[in-house]
Amino acid sequence: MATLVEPPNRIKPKGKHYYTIWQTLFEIDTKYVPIKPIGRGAYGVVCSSINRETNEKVAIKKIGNIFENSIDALRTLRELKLLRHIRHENVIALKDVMMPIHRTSFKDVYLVYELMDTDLHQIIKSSQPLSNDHCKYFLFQLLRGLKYLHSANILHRDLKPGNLLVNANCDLKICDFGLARTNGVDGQFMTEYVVTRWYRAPELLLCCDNYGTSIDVWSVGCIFAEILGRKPIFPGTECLNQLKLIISVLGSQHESHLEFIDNAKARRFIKSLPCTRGRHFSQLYPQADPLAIDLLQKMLLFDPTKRITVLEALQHPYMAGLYDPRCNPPAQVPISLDIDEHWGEPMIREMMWNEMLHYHPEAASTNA
Amino acid sequence: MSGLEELRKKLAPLFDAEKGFSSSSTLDPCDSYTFSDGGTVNLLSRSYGVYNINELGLQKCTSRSVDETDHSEKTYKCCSHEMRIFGAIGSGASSVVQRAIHIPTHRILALKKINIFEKEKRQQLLTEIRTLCEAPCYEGLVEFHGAFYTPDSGQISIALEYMDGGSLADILRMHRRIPEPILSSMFQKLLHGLSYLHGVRHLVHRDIKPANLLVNLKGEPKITDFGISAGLENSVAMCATFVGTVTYMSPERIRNENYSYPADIWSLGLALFECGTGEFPYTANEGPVNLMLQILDDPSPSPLKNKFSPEFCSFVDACLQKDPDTRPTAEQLLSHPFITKYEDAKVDLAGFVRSVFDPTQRMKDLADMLTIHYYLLFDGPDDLWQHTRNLYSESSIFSFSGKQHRGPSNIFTSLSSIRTTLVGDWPPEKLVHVVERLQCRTHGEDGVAIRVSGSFIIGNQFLICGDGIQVEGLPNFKDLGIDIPSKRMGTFHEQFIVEPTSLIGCEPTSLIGCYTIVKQELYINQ
Repeated sequence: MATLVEPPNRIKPKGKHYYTIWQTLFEIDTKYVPIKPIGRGAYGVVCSSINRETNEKVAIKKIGNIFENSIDALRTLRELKLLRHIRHENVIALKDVMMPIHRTSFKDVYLVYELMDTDLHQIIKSSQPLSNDHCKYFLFQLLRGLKYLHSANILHRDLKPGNLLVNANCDLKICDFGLARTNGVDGQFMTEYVVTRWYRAPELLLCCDNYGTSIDVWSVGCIFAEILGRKPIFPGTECLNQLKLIISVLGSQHESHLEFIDNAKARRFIKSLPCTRGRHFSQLYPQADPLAIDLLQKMLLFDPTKRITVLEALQHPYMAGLYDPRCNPPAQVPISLDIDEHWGEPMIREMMWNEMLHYHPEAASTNA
Repeated sequence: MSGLEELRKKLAPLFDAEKGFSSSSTLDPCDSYTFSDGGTVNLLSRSYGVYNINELGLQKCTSRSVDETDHSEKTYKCCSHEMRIFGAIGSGASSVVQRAIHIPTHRILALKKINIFEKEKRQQLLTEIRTLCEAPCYEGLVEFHGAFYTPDSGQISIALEYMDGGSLADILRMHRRIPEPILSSMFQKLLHGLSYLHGVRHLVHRDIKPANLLVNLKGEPKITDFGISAGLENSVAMCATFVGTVTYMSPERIRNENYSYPADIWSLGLALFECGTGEFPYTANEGPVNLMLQILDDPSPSPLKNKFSPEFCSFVDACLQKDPDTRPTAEQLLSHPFITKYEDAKVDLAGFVRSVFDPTQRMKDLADMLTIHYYLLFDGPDDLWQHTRNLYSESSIFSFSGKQHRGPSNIFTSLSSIRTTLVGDWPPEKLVHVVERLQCRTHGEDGVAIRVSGSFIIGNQFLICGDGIQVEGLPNFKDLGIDIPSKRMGTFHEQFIVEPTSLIGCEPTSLIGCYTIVKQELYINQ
């Protein structure tokens, strides 16, 4: 549980109070009162809290020592920039970013999100039964949120069950935009430690240029398969093994479906894999709705140019009666992210401060 | 729209919203951990036994009874509250490395901090700790000093020998390539370390690359980051697991075949190729799949015969044989002509390293750290102050108020008296140092002379001005907005001559990185 404690150095800044949560010190605005810790992840500790001004429950995520690792710092900055613009019921809302006390030397960042109960990864690996209606509703919400993102020119690029938050009533929201890019910007070669491999599209694995929204569709297909089968469909141990697993399920590809691979060596590798007819999804998921199988097959096409789009997926018979374009307007404007991978700490710090000012415009006048 | 409403009504709740969702908590002994009530992390491993880590340090638990305890087994007591932690040196794929001073021994360390809540990092940490515990103190290998867990940050810190030069990757960024005589001498020492890892500890490093080959200002090269080594004692020296970065992996690893010590030889050969030519021999910017396919399909890279010596080319070619069974061992490579060629040439590694890394900046950093360390002791709590005694040797001299004090006991007594006077009658508010100016220069071969001046103010902790190295826990002077002239209660200036600790008769390696104040002069104006 959260414990109110004295501030360090016995210097109490105005407007802040201190709590210890799972032995981690939280320095938060006084309008938030922590309730209990709800998670600990790669970034840091998350605790549920109540906003005393609005009486709503929120999740506060503390990212400690954020500048120790520039990759993590850039991920956080990217998320701050993107989430400020996004307004959609299937994308997590970033409600507040707390202003640190010292502009030039702050080390921790506190993000305030709307509170969700758990994530899809926990649901999938639990024994909780999921009906066809559950699968359909989860998929619909994911596609609807993704359509909004793509209309804003945003590729998520790291969709996986752990990044899909859910409530008891089955509402679903996409989160973690640390790897998101705007479409058309040059893709960056990122270390495998950062990118989750199992949900990566073939064109990403093969490092083709000019990938697009189809990479997120592939990830959705992998997630959908995992909901149906309750385990990952392509749990590769490394890049080449990942590709082998994909081919072993989809079957060997005709030459015409490999034209998107611009690297001759990679194309030769795909052709050199053992000939196989693959396994039909109805064999992998015998209990699934035939329409779900059909949609899954269209999502997990090796060739990105043949893969179903988000809009086409929403119009697929499996989604019949759910998608209404009039209720799903596109994003206001395409969002541009001018983030340079080579920024050092001072620049990242300054950009973060500027993002925080959008949530605290009154702080712009002070010279802190 | 009506279809969506109908679907919603048919949905059964996933769980009781009031009770929330609780995930199952089954533990997999292969790669799991538990927290005990006291904040101790129990790292569990089926093969390697149990390690307990908390704020007080690392302790290995064995299944044997107390009576059978092996008293020769090393303990690594290294507590978080006994560390002064300074800024980051760098960050890698799975960790952040910071400089630190171990207060009881006044030793400068590299602290590698790892978040234990990510599965892959956790596994790396577990195998690294095991490797470090069992590969201590050998030429060519970075020394392990202990580990501890910090609840506040949820990280485990591994204390390693601080290499005050940098890595070969750092050198390549500045110099582009390294001359052959230097490489020959360096790789001879690295091969000794690798030969020890393979032949005595039966460990495959699995991440040999320029970034993990460090060198200090004395010119000593050492291998670090055994982070993904794995024990091989109980097998036929084969590994069937697969983790690691792409760049330096051998063909048999990429094919997911069994691999062993020869995989490290391949990586070493690639590292040498890159250091000698200034170029990584494969195209790396077209992604990991393309890189792997080049390693599998293309002929092994070979240095240009007309630009490099026959011995260098022969060494690289031997290491980069596609067939692991035809690669020489580390032991065999120690006899290779590329290594023996310069054996008697007395290559000046220290001179080379000092020409690459700025010794002046290194000295400044050292002076900053030692100064902060000293005044945090002086103005800090009594229990830490006791450690000041062993900052001095029997021949150390402290001058103050016209008197000279020699030896640890006398100096400690004298300083304690000054300290008591400054604390006064109301300890929460006492006279503390504010260092306003710091100058340093070399003294002798390894020592540094530090000249400090500043003010006394009433406060509760030491402060330092300027934009030098920062220490964790100490507020940045600029943020406090203190006006020194109006708060000044007196001024001081102090001179130190600090040298690396050396003691005749003791095991020399146990003191690497420790420092001694050999001369100190203090002047106070009230």
